[in-house]
Amino acid sequence: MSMMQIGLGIWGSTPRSIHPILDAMTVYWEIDEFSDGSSAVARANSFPKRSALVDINTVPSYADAWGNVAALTAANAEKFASTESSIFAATADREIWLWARPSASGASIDVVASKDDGSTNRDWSIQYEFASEKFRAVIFNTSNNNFVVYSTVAAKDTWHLVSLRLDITGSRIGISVDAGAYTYTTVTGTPRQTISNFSVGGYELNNSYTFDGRLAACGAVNGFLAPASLSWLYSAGRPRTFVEIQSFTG
Amino acid sequence: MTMTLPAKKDRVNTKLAALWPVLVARQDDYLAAHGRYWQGLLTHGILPIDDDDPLPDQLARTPKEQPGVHVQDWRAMLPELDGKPLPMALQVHTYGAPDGDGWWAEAHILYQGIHRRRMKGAGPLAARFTRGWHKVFDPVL
Repeated sequence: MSMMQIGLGIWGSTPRSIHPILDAMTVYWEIDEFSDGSSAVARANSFPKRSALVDINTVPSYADAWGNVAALTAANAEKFASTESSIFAATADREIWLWARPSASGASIDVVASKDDGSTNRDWSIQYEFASEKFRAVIFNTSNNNFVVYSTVAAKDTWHLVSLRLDITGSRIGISVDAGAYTYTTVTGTPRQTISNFSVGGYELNNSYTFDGRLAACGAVNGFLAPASLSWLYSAGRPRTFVEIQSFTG
Repeated sequence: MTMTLPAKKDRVNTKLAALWPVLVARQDDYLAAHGRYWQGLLTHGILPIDDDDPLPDQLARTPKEQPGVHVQDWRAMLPELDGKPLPMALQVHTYGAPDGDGWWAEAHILYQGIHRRRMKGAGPLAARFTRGWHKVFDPVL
């Protein structure tokens, strides 16, 4: 038996199946750590080599029916910061999702998640507009033009699974709420790719327009979630744990 | 005539240089007493515009809905600011990271209609939360 055959026997004889979500997944923050609000608690990434979420201004937990979620108060400028940039860049097809329950903070717009520092490094963001009770996504191109797409109506004070498609191949962005159909808008020119880091609940630097309400379970994949995967992520009516995702077979 | 932007920045920078060591010492005291760093909300309801040195009118504000946090406002933390005109608004943020806790301070001005800010950090992520003067933009409305 040659060394190559031995090698194949060890490593090559049982082809690994393709996981419908995990194989393309780049990050997953469950955001289920407990915090009583007396001290800041970093939120772990299910991919240990990726950035944890830094807790800005002490985000307490709220014990929802399924476990701890983040309860953010906009007046305190509470949010989470990561050091992830390239894996969220609008240079390739990507999909980013999280659970959000917006509350009326008094602001017209709350930032749900962003790769946008609210300063000179603006790529894209997911926001919630209170007047229309819709999520929306905003992306900038290299000429600093912005493109906005709105979701279907998503009532405030209600949990929603919001998912953003950066469809770079198709020159468009799309947004889905509660695993429904995506609404798209065309993006002309080249999407901006800056050094800004991904943040949850606000812009990386601008501390206005931070999210008011509850947030949970944020993930991202290279490429897009299959419709069955998005439906499955939503179908429990709560965030899926990373262990559940590992067990998902499509 | 409105002072130039570099002159305005210099004026704020000088003020910040004097306040920074005081704030560092107070934060160390606060940490020793309460086990965490102190967060200070924006000192002004309206950002100082151009040459104006308005009084900080929001010194009594404290973070809310953080039940375990010892509440302390700017007047208790930095009484030197009370009743004194300031060329900039101040804000102090705290953070909790895997490498430990820290904080940073921000100075805000509105110069010729443009919101500008600088940040100075402390703790394990001090470098990350230290930035020179930069513009701040709001969402596309």
